[in-house]
Amino acid sequence: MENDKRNRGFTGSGSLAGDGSGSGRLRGALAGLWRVSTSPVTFVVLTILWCVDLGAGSVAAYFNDPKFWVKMDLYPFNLWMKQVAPRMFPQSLWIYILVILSYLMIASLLLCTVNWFLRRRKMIKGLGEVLVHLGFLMIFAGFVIGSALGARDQVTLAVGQKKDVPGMGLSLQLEDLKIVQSPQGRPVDTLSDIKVYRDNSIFTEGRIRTNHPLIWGSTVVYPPEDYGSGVTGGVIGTSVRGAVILGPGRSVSLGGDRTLSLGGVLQRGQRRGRAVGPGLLVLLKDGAGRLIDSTYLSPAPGMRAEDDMAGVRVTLGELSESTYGVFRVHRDQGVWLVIVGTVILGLGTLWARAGYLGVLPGVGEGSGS
Amino acid sequence: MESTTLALHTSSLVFYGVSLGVYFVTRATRALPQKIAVWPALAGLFCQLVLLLIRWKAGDHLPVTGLFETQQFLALWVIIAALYFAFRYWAYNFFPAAVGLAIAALVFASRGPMAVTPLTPAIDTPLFLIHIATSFAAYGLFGVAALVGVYRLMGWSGSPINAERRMIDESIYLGYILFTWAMIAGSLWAYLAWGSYWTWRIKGLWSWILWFYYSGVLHVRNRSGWHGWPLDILAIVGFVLTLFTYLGLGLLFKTSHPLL
Ligand code: HEM
Repeated sequence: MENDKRNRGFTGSGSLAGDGSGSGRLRGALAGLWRVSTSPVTFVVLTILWCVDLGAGSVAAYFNDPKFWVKMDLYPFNLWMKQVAPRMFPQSLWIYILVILSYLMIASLLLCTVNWFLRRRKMIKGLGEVLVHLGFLMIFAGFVIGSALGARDQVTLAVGQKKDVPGMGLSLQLEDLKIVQSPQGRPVDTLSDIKVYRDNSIFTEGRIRTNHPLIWGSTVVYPPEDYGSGVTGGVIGTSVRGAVILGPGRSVSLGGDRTLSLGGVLQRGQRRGRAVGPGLLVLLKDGAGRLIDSTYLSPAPGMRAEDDMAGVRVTLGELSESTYGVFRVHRDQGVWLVIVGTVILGLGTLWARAGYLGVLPGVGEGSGS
Repeated sequence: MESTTLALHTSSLVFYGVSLGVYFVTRATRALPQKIAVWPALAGLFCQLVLLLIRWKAGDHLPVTGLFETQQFLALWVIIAALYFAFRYWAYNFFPAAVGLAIAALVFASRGPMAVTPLTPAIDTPLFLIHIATSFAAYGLFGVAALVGVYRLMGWSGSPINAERRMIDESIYLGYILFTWAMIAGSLWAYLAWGSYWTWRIKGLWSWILWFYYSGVLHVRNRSGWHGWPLDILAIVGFVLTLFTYLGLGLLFKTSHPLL
């Protein structure tokens, strides 16, 4: 077969193995090793093992824990392998095997591509196949980079709120969140106006909706997975400054270097420890941001609606409600390599197809068979 | 729209049924050549194409969403492949098998709602439409390849000029390339819509399995020792995998899985 010949590699000569000397045998063995490593059959065997491992493992994982997939998608793959996989062992064994098989397949692809450059004779027709192979190598490299260096986070933002995204060196502010409804009144999408800050100045901003996230470089803010409206703050009567409004990301100075801010909220029906929602966790801090005192105020039966905080009397007035969303922020440094790889792979398939149909110069029809 | 859809859908089914009937009658009586079975099938194809265009115009998007439209699209590709083989390789004996597959897909399509529904925001993107269209076209061609595999394994003659190997090769090759585009479009869509081009959702994983499986098939299809019966078995197993990815997973995980 032509393909068999093509893949014999640069050392592929039977006579080398047969000269009987020590170095001849070594060269013969190396030639054999090269032949096996660059043979498509090796790749096919690895592919079959990969398919069986992923197929059986994925179904078994689901039956062990139907939420398995959702949990796995929360982390970049490397982080999952470091933090979760060891705890799940031996149920995660199939993923370790999958990783090993993937690397072996890539090694086989890499060697095969090197071999192509060393041995290739049919430049024009073979270009399609080499583009596909190179494209795939780039996709895999991009995946490895993204898994190793990438990060994923989630932030819950109420309208008007600004929050840091830990580990990514940026803050997000939700300017507005509108819920788009179908003519029948069903919520079908959201429109969120997002501002991204770096070092306290606006870095980028935009309106996001399904299929249209905010992308800059390797970082993406996705539309909220979960959204709704609920308590986001309220009016607090204070004995030192009268009524003040507490809301997301907003602290109020009480004079004497003390500030009042919101530590968190509970929605109607929510509970945390003995605290019952709806209500506000109010924090009193000193000028350096150190906590002096905290209290939970709620109009719910059995809960306190006023309290004394280090000499300041605080009384809960009206609760304010607004819309909030849970936003995902992903960083994947390998994604551009993946996208370029995808384009090259796509072009490669077009080229290969043209070669197959005999459209390319010097290539007879059906030379794929 | 639903009545027009029903009329055209039923007509194409009837034409394909007639095509099968004509094939078997001409085969039994030998009064007329079997190739006349192609004409009713062409009429069926015409009905399907008109239906596709009408629904495209009505919905303002390529009609490839939902059970009805995807199965219609799959059947369309199966028929196109069968007609191409018939005209190119005189594969009239293979024709009834492919028409049978198209009829099965159309009967299955009848189980889905026929109304034209607007796209929800999540699928309102050309990437999704390309993803689905190329996937189902590929599924159809993988089905055709498996049928040719059955013919070759059973020793039946599909084409008088022995073009069966060429037919299985072409179906797998084009199917694979279309499926590659499906994977590319699907991954880009997943990146924009769900957060990553690779997600651990089971349907996506099985699509990778299918893609890698056919990558493997592509690499051995011309090797000595492989292009005979092993290729037939590979084509048949490939279609079983395709059916499992498309139907089996849905049935297996129907009860509680939210992501399928
Ligand atoms: C993810 C991995 C891979 C993908 C997606 C892939 C895809 C492809 C495609 C699309 C073609 C063009 C087929 C044609 O035009 O006939 C091809 C050809 C080829 N590939 Fe790969 N390939 C992969 C891995 C490998 C590996 C690891 C090897 C070697 C060990 C290899 C060796 C070859 C050879 C020799 C050809 C040309 C001969 C033929 O048509 O069979 N491939 N590949």
